[in-house]
Amino acid sequence: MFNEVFQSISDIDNYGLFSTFIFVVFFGLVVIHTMSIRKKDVSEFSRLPFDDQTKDSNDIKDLK
Amino acid sequence: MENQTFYYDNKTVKLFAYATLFWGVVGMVVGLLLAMQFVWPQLSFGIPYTTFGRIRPIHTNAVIFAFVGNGMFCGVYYSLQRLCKARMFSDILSKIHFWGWQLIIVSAALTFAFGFTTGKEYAELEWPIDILVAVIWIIFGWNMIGTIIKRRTRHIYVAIWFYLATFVTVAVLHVANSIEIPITFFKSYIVYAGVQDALVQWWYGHNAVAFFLTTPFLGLMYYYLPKAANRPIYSYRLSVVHFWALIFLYIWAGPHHLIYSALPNWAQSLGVVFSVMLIAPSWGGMVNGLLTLRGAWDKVREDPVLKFMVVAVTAYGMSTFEGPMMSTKTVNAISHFTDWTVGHAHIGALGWNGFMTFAVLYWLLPRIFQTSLYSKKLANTHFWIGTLGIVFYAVPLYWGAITQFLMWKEFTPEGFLKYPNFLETVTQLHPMYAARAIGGALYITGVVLGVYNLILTVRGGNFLAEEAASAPALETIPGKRAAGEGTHRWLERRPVQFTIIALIVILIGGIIEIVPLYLVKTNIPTIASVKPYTPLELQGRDIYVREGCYTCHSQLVRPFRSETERYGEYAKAGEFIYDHPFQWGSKRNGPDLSREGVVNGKQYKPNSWHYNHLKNPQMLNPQSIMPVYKWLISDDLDMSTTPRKIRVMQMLGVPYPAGYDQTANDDLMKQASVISADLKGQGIDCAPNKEIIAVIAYLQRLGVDIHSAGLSVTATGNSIK
Repeated sequence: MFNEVFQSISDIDNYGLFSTFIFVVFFGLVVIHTMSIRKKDVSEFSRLPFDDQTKDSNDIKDLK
Repeated sequence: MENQTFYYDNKTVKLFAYATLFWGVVGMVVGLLLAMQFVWPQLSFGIPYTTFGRIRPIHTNAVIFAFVGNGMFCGVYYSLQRLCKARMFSDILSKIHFWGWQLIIVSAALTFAFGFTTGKEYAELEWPIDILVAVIWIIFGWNMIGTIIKRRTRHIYVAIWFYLATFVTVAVLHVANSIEIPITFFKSYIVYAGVQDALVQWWYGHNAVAFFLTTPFLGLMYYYLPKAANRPIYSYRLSVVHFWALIFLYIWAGPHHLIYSALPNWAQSLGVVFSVMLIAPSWGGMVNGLLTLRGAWDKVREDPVLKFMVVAVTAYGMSTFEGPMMSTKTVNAISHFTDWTVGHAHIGALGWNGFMTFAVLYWLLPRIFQTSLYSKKLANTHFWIGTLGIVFYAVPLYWGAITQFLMWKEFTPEGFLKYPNFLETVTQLHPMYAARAIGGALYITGVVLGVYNLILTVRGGNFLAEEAASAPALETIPGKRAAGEGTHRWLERRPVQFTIIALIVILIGGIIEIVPLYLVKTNIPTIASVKPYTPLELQGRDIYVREGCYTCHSQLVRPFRSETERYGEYAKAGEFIYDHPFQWGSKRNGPDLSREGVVNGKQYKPNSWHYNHLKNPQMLNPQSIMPVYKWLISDDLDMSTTPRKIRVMQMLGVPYPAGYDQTANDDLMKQASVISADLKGQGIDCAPNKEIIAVIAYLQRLGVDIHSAGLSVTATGNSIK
């Protein structure tokens, strides 16, 4: 069935338009989600690399 | 919840770091040898194992999968454990992953040197190693996802999203682009042919860049840059948009490697549109990285780690602007097949991957060895020499590319090509090639200094194999979404579901691009005069693939007057339907060969010319940079594989008559005898069972079908059935 459906597409060039449309919808949803994340959560997430008990570049000299 | 004590596994991190340094030096030295062969072709030493076509895949695979690959694993194993507050899921899987990956690298280097290759760029590994790659990759993913599942943090940090997308996409790309039917233990035919093979290959090739060289390094950037700068990433929101937009868009961009080729126009257009759109998420990531240093630029002056990172991120920004620009039809018309592509690739490889890898190693090794870097001054010297190396490497190639396309396309006022002899452009490029080798040597000098600095750092330190840490166990909460929890927030704490969604996102582009090419028949109109290769030509083609001729010679005439005047008829989709694999190539250090066999054509040469040229190219053209192939004259053709090759081709739909495998070698010898006799007439004594006869037969077949519909016998005695 899929074979027949694909082979019946007469103007395959429209794929470019469809594809761009799919991306715009997807991108819009991601942006809406991102904007809806609470500021407190964003701040907490962005600090995760510092919550691992590994010393950063400022205190590496203390390790020796 | 009760605090739990656990230990980070630093041993695996250390092993991957050592492997990164070792393979980095090996891969780059091979690269330098290649660069020098452009200036002194005699550096191929007249033996098969060191010719350009065989060691170019060693260089590309060594720097991509060995240097960058091990560097990526090193950075991932260190950061993943700390972001998850958990030891790696399984020490045994970590060991299998490390040693299995090294086994793959050694196998790759040996098999390429011996000429075992699929002939597909960046996917040259033959089928047994392909299977090993798939197994080891799954072990890596299993270990990674297992670690994420047993983590002690609720949220999965954005760096890990990039690691997950890397795992799942590379798995899909590798499997899809490696579906081969074995002929022998070290020889196979890819199931795709011609245009379809080209699309799958560059869907893979481009996304190997995207998901092996880019997404994992963006993950590393999101962890190590904030750590080194001691401040959180500039915008976490931007990193979320960056991630999803990037993985969605990247997968579509592959066809931009095939612009003005025989690929249907709609697929080319898709590749162009999505490549241009890629600038947005790519620069989102670059801006996010650079703005993380807002207010901390004084640290860049002092800290070599940050210096490496800043140039790495800047190189990422430059190459992700340049790439989309090169994918537009206007620019691609002049840039494709020139050394611009090589320069572009090396801005990304040397700047983004190389510098980010060293930034991670300079940051991480002192920590797991509980010491500080042996010499900041030496690291700074490495940085400046490396940066100069990148500039000296890339600028001559850009200059060379401008020279190439201007000379290739220039016409006289009378309407003739001003430089009809391809060799004239090669001669002009000699100084640029020499300058490029100097740039490469500078970069390697920096790398050697870096390795020396890190060795002394390690020697002066005390390795902490098991690093103690503690964190409360993660409180179990229901898998379903909690009240007030958004879908994405829920997804962010469900690694398996997250991976599946990422998989779906990357599959959309691949499916929409690739499936129609197979199912819509009008995409590849058949041409009645295009016939299967004769057994001798098929064997000759396999030798052409074995020697990596495609690394310098294209087989694709683009629809420009400058190309049709130089080579002949432009490429049609229907003429490649029996090509497993396609051999269009990606750059022209030598002329296009796709119309080589057309008698009285623009590129035609007699059998004796090919014999002498392969034996000693400099004898015919003293300025030629082609290596000698004298072993083709002495080595016997292995005819024992002919029946199996015919049967596999039949399985793939090539219309050889039923039972032809049994008589194929008779036809092979008949055709070989015609060529041998022709050579004898020119004073060259060459037995029909020598490899060079098969190669000549293949070269003399190129372009014949498309040019001479209705002509049944060519100059080589090829009876087209």
